[in-house]
Amino acid sequence: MLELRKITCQKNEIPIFEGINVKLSAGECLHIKGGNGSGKTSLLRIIAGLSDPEDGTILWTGENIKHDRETYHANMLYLGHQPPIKENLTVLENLSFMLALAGINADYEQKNRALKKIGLSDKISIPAHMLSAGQKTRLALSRLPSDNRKLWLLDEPFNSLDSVAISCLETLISDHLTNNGIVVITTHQPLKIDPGKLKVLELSV
Amino acid sequence: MNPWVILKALFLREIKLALHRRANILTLGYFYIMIATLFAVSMNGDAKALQSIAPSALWVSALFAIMLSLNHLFTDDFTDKTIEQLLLAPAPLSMLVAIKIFVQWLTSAFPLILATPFLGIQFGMGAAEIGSLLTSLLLGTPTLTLIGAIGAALTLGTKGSSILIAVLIFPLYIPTLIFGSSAANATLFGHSAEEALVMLAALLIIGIITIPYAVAVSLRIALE
Repeated sequence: MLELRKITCQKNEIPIFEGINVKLSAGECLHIKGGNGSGKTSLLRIIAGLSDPEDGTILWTGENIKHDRETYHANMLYLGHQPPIKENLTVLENLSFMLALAGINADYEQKNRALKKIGLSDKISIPAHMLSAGQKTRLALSRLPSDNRKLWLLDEPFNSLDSVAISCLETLISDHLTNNGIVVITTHQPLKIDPGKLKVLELSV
Repeated sequence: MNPWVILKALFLREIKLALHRRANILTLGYFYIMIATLFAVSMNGDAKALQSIAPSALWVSALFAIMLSLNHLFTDDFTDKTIEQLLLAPAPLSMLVAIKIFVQWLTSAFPLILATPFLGIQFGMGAAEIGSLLTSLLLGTPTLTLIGAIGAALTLGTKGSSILIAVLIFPLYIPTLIFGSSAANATLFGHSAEEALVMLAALLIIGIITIPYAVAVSLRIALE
């Protein structure tokens, strides 16, 4: 499904990583590891199509992602390490907009269930600027239960989450893999996922 | 996948966010009225002279106010990272950009146009002159917002972007200013405003066709 071919990345003429080859099929998870500055976020942004690699191609169902951007993005979710949230809008408005922007139709019940699952159901009509850092991350993740897109790219999603939210997210990821989804994730913490489904990519500084 | 759902969601979000920034809209309106009034005061009560500079004075005031409003267009989305999600939406980015620019015009330039008839009276303009001034503003200010969007996109993420925008788009504003004020002036001096209005409309059409695409490309480069 997702294939990285000889991905090379440079920043200001300094090579970050070179010749990365990965093949992921449905139901597999790629855990990108590496120290600070090893290029985890850069690789994830390249996979998302936000930045171009110095060299190499990314294929989605055998098709270069640059050829049909909209089809690829209709099948892909990217969450950067800073939760993309509008501070002036309420929790529900933020969730509704994120889902609509992905072209996902979710009714009020569904959104309410998602917010309950992630532990934000009592904050539903509160402006997002009143949330703590961990709650903002939760809000960004609250779209996951309704997000049926195949490929999830998650950049440090466990940051500033408490243990309850961490196990909730782990369940969401496992469920997604069971439903034949693909997850690419960067994190420093060990992933509690069936080792048969897990691939690890170690980037060195 | 229906892109209209996405476009509608963005339109509604932009309107909501603009309503949260009502104070900015009022500030802009006040700024516009203030510059126009300073023009009027500085004419030292010469009613004839005041009337003859009215179209130009109001056009320049509107241009300054619109320029002042451009800073918000992309920087807010850039700071809170929601712009990345726009770039990744399964809809043409140029359409999303067009929506953002339209709401920007609706919440910055359009209120100024609504205030213009009152300022026109203050300058001693007649109904016909005010009419052609309003038409020229309705056709010309969207072009100003569109051109400003290019400046805002190209300077996104740079330090001191507001002054950079101004330097960048200032020369590009001149054609619109010339045709806009000459349409209003033509009526004042008893000529037909049609020619200038047609030119304004032509500029606007070219802008609507080309600029959202250019802005989309420069946003992708700025976010890389």
